[in-house]
Amino acid sequence: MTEALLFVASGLALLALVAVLAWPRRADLPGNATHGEIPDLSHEDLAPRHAKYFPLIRQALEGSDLAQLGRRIPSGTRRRLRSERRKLARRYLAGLREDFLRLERFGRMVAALSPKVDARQEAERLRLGIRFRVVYAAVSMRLAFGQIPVPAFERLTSFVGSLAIRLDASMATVLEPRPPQASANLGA
Amino acid sequence: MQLSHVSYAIWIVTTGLEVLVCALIYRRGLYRRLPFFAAYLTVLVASEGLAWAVYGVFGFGSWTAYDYGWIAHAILLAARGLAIAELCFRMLRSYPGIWALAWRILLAVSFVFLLHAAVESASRPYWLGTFVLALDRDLELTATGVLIVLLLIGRYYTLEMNSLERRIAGGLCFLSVVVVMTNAVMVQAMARHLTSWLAYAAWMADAQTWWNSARGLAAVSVLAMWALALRKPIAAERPAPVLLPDSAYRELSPALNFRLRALNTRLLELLKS
Repeated sequence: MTEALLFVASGLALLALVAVLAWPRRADLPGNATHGEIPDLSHEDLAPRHAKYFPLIRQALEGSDLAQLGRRIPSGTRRRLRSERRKLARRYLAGLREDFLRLERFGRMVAALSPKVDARQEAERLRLGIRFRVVYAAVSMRLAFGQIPVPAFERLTSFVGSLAIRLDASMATVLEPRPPQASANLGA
Repeated sequence: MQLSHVSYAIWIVTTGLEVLVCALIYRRGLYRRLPFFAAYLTVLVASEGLAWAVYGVFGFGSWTAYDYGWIAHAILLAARGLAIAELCFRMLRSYPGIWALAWRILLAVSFVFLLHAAVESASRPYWLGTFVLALDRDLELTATGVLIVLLLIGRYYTLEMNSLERRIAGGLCFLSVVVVMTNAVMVQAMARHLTSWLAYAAWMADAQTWWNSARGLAAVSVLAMWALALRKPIAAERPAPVLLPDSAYRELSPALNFRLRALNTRLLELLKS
């Protein structure tokens, strides 16, 4: 009986998955952008949009101000300030995730439009994407419990920034000889 | 043994919808785009017509009806397998790089599930009913696995997939999942009721109504979805996307992976700090 129940439970989960996968995506609906026309893979769009705001975020996240204020302000206000800081850090992390996902999506689109792909490269990108999501969830949870490691945030931010600069150079060399229609697809 | 009124009602609706979908496939010219799928629907309609004749002449509980039922089922399974293979090719052929990768994955998925089917069926040799049901369940599991992997690949690489083809794939997958679930319950229940033949016969009458109804309702839902999708003329095929030069992937992909890998390491540092 356990095996039958297991099959039924897995079956229901699979039915839900099939419904999600078979449902048309926004890009497939009439009037919306198709795969070949998705325009947001230009050099500018690949640049990290959120990393550049780090100096401002850092200022807001620095613990010293709050520690100094802590002696003078009431505990209710201090709690509210801490909560605001956590919210800010979470939003910033979500922005960095957006930057990562854009780069990852770019990789998948290059693969989709390539006449040959390497199975190992694709497997690695899939693994990295899964790993990033897991670690991201763990970091988000940590933030939810009130820990904000500012120096580590800074390292992560400068790294995301450097990704785009190097990628921009690679794209420029790779996309030069492409035919006009294909270039338009990548916004080059 | 006779079919219950509920089963008859569902069977009539299912047959009607199968005829409607088959007619729409030929009217809309889908047979030119998906010939194996059209052949599958045609065989399905023909088998239903024959089933009405066989059950009418020999009775639902006869051995002739039993033999016919399983032979028709085997033919339909093979036809559906071909239709699924055709869908995989149709949906991915515009992306040669992904297709070269995907057909190996899909073949590996099929092999793993078929191996499971062989092992699972071989472990139930004591009674034909459970053997056939287990085999049927695992073959449907193979179809489910292949279709889900196909849809996942399409979603992961954001490939342009024709909406109608995706609905057909989703429908076939839905049918297979329902068959897997109903067969799994039947295989288990049969094994429990085999101790006494009288109790088994009484239980079987009820169980068969439930089994037929569940499968019938799933078929009605899927056929209705296909009929709705085919009510309008099918859209012209989108032109194949213009591919990038070979060098683009060779140069960009390793660089991107390197950066994604490094970003993962930094995020991990953030977690550990």
